[in-house]
Amino acid sequence: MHKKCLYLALVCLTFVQFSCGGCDGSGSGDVDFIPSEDEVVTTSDVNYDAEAMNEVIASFSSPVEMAALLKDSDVPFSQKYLMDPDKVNGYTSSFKRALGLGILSADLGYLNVYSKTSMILDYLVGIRKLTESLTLGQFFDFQALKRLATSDDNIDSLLIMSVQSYHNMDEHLRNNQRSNLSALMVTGVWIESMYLVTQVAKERPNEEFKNTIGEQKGILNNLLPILKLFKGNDKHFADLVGNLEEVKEVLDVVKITVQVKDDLPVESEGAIVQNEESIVTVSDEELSEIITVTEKIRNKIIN
Amino acid sequence: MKKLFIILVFAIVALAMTTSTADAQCKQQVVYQCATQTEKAIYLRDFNTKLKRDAADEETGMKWTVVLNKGTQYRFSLCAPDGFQDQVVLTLYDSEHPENSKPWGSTYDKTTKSDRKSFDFICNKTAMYYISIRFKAGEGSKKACAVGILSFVGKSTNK
Repeated sequence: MHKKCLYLALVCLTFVQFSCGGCDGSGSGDVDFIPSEDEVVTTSDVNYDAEAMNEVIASFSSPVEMAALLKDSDVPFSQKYLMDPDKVNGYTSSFKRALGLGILSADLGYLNVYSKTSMILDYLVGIRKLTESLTLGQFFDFQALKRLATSDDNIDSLLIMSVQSYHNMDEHLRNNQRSNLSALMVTGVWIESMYLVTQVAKERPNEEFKNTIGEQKGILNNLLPILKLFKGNDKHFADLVGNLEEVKEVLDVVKITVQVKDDLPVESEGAIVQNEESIVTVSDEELSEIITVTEKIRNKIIN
Repeated sequence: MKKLFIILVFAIVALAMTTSTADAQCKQQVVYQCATQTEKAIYLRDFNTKLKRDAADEETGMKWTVVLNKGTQYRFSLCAPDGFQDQVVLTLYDSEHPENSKPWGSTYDKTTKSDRKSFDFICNKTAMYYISIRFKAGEGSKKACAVGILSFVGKSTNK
């Protein structure tokens, strides 16, 4: 009898340990499968330094950062900068869906930062469609987000939860040999953020936006080699790389130099001030070309 | 005998759950509380890690990469469960400003041996940086977790 008890207890313990597989917050423990429809290139097909690649993908900016910068610059809200969320109904490949997920995440960030709760629901619906078709639905709690979106008091919670959902999806993809989709998500965020700031700069030219746009040269130079890894025989990736090469071409004329001011960082009003400064040089004509090409490529990507 | 069996099962389940919790990242509630303590700064992302030191010279915690943009003032905040706040340190560094010699910023000042819950960083160079969260040297006798929050304070006005 004693032995029986011990065996039963061990079985219970084993069950508890296995059932807690997702308790570290890294996932739900759901079985993840790669959608079969059109995934030509997956991470396992590509020769690369996985750690280095994931490090670069993970470093990319939060989907709310550009919006936060625009709002802090007193740029008024404008819906015309955003993608129509109904467009996702026409996205039938996981390639297109992952890119669209990044684009809508950046748009959702923009709506969150500007507290446009009445418009958020349409974007949540669009993102839900994409996450479900990419088998990422477990990271996007639509009902909870919808509840938060219906109250202006919960805008902080909504922003935190939606940004966390984005990062959890991204992390899950990278940890499950789906870095190709993760790379597409960050590309979507990047092109939409770039589109937002270039559209604003077109209407309200100033030195700050010029600097922000020029600095994107370095970001794109980090992103492109990753996308090229997946190019292989995949036509979708090859087209995307070709499109972004066009943006790179116009960004390449931007000159960025770094000046070191002192030996150590200094503190000013409680903040550490970095003593290395990058200086961006770009003419108005060059900026105008960057704006035009970004608009063309972003619109090509969303359609 | 039945009583003994039930007690045994409960004891083992409780032990299993305690072990699993102590060896895990911080719970969502800790992340949320930390993210909403950043005053008027806008939450950008969090860095959640479990902390465990089995040997005195073992490196603990994790590091992450993050792109910071020129002209922006960022806030880095660190939260840990009660009893662990003064054992953990968050550090911002890059390849030319290493974590252990001259990082850009840290929640722990080695010279004055003082802690701060957060620090602001005015970024003047768009580049990839590293953020680490680790036990301080000599700390870490028990398992813990910690959360770092990166938030957007505003455009930098410092020139």
